[in-house]
Amino acid sequence: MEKLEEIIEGCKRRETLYQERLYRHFYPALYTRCKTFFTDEHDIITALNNGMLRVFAQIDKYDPAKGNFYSWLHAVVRNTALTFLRDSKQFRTTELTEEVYESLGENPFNRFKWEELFKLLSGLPTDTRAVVVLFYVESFSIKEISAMLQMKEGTVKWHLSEGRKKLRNILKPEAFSER
Amino acid sequence: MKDKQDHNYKNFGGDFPKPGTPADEAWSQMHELLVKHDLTKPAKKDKRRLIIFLLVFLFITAGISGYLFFSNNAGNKAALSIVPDKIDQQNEPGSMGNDTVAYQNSEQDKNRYIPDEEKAFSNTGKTNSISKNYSLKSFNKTNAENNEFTAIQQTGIEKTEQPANAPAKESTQNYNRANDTVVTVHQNILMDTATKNTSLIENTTAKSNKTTASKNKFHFGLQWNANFSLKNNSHYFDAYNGGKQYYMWLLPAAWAKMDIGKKHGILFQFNPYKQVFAGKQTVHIEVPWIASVDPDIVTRVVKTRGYDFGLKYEYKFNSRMHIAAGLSYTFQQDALYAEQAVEHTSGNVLSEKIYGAKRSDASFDYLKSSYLNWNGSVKYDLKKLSIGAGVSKPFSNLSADPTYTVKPLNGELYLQYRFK
Repeated sequence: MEKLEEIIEGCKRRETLYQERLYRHFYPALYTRCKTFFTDEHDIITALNNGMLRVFAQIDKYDPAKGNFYSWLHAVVRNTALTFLRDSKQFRTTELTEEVYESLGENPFNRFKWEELFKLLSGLPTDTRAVVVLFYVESFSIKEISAMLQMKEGTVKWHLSEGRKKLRNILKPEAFSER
Repeated sequence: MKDKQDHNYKNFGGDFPKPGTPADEAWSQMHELLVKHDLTKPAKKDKRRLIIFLLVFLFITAGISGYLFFSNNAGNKAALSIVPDKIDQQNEPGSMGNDTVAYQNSEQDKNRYIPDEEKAFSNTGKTNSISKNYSLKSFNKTNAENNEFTAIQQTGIEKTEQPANAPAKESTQNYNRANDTVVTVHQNILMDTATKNTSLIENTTAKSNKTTASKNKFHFGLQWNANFSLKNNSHYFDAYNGGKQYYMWLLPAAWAKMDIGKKHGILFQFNPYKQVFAGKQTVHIEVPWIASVDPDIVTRVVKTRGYDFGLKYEYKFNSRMHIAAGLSYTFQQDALYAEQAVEHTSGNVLSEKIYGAKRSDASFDYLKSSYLNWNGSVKYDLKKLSIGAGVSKPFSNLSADPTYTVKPLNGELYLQYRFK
């Protein structure tokens, strides 16, 4: 297996062989990330491939000095997935004015395996799910989420509140027999 | 409220669950997108490696050829080098035995080696003219020009006898001493002349052989190839357009050969219709969305055709038998596929469709556009016509998808006609 730098160089030359190697190398990780936003297989693959299309088109812009490749790749794919979410117009605009999410504190999702996480998230509506994932799993601030999803901060808070309400019961340790 | 939080990727770096969609299928969709947006092109690296490999092979072949060519002439060179060697020996002090050879070198040399005898003759006051009679300069010159060993030998004897007999009348001590010297010298003259003449004869023969060899150095002609699969093929007469074409089993090619010495040669071949039977090896599998219900679509390559450039080293066993080995580079133009519907669980073939693909077709993407082969063959000459048999196998994978390896071993029978 070639080094990642060599694969990236091959992708910059737009050579299929290296594009495929890069794609296959990161496929499980990116698929998992996309699955946190979508439940439908087709949506997951569409979001992932749209993201990778942007990666391959803009790989010349990747600067190793600014961070590792996976961070950049993940950011591009995630942003494309969020664009895909926004375009699907499944976002509601209800706002919450209470200041209840000052900080993240301990991430309650860190206790779960991926499959368990998917199971938890599957109970949430698409828009709430995206906000919850960005806040809890991806660790973005409300302000950042607001900018990313192009929604008001109050709306982000409302989605978080909704998510917490729906997950309240299942987030309890006893909800998973093995824990 | 925090504006920005530290990113804490969960389970970053591994332990991801198995994706619901196989990577092959996802990549297939991705590849279609890349093609659609013109963001991809075939890898160049493999080609570069092949070209480097081919160049290295050419250099090695040229090196071997050069070595063989020059080593064949080594014998001739050795014969030619006799005289300079003797001249070198002449220059060593006290090497009297080769005095005669010095005559042909220069006047200066002549004067350097003759004085002993000339002094002797000059002491008699009568022998200068005699010594000039058998001057080796003219003797060897005649030798070289006419290349008539016997006649010169006789002349040499006559001339040698003259000074040996003539001074007998004088009966002086100096004369006797000179006489002895002259006889010795001319015996040496004869021996060296004989050696030199032998060398000259060898040279002439070698030159003559070389002229004959250079006349036969370059050959060219046509060739008709009949490829056959050594494994799993029955589509010999299936054309690439889906029909039947019986000439598909006897395809023309051109060749040119350069002889290097008597036993070696370099053979260049251009084959505009090189055919490779792939033994129905898999190049692509399309797994359906619901695998348990729909069958897998398996695409297998039956055979491919393209133009091919090859270079071979040929060794001649005897006047009729040759063996050859070399490399060739093929640019694929057509392919014949077998598309099979295969039951996912049992692997049973439910149906099969044979279809052809041209380089411009989408399904041609299952194959690499070009690849490198090695090949070996045996040939038997029948005057202008030769018959031969060989094997060939691709070095590089014919399949564009590295998941599948397609490197079929093919057999080949051929007729070769020599124009020159």
